[in-house]
Amino acid sequence: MNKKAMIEMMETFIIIFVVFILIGFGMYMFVKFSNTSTISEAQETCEMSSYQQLLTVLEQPGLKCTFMGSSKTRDCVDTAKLRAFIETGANEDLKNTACPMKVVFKQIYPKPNSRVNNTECTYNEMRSPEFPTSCGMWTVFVPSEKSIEGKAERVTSTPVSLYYPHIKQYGVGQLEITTYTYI
Amino acid sequence: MNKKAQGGEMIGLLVIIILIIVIIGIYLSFASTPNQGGVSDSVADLQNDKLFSAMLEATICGTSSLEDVIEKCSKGQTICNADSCNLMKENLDEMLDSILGKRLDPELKQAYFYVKMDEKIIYEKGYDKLEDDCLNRPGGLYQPKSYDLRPNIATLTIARCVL
Repeated sequence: MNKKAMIEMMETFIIIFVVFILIGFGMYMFVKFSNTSTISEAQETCEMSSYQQLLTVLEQPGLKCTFMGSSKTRDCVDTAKLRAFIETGANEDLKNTACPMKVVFKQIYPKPNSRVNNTECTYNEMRSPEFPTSCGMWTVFVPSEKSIEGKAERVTSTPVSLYYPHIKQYGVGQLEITTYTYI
Repeated sequence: MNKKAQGGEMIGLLVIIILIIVIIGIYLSFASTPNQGGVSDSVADLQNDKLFSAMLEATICGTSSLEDVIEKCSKGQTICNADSCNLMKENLDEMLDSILGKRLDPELKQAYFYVKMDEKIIYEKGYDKLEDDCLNRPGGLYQPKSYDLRPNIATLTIARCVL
């Protein structure tokens, strides 16, 4: 083989090598980009889902305050209805979401005593003379341990007006929706 | 002939370089597209609306709500045998501490809440220079949201700085 042919062979090999490197780099970038976009799409779906869940929970007819059969006058959540919603299993409808979610109403104002911050507001607590400061939360829905294993938590919350029908007073609560995602 | 071939190779190289530049440009334009924050904006709007309605409806004393207390304060009257403006301030402090917590810490420069009556601020909590500070931060978006208590009683405003 003469020298010119050798150089042309080398040139061809170098070009093929460069082309393969370019294809490999392109494939790497494509996989990386599509992975990132899939994860961010999943994240967006979860965020959207948690926002929709916020609206769904707040607009549940079984939770809203009604006065003389109408809910037009006040925008609030009736705590007696909230307890009944949990006890009767009506909260099971909230299971059908894109991502596992925990839904909790927290008592904010009047501020519960610090030792009862994490105490569930059961019927007994709600009948107590110290209520609403005798308990701190209403757990509407908790996903199974298995479905949230190894996942990261993201909390979306909004203040809500809470109505205590036993004492005919209003307080401030916080509706917290914890979404469990992979990132 | 040799010169012609060299010219062809040069054009090929130029086309490849242009293609690579175009691909990098498209990638960068996609990668640097800022998140429009559709969902987070909707959540923030919902949070602000609910914040005002929940706070104003809350029972402060007897059957009087915070809205009643603010109304009495604007008229300089007492309520539940107490000074209405002091009652308003005490209860706003407690509510805002519980709802917004550290976000109203002036050192964190995240939020500012105030109540205006007759163009005069009568209650404020948070970082009062938030607007100027936020607009000077790169990508800072100043988002105030107000609620008017009519007729001409007071205006409640919550401002946040979104980065």
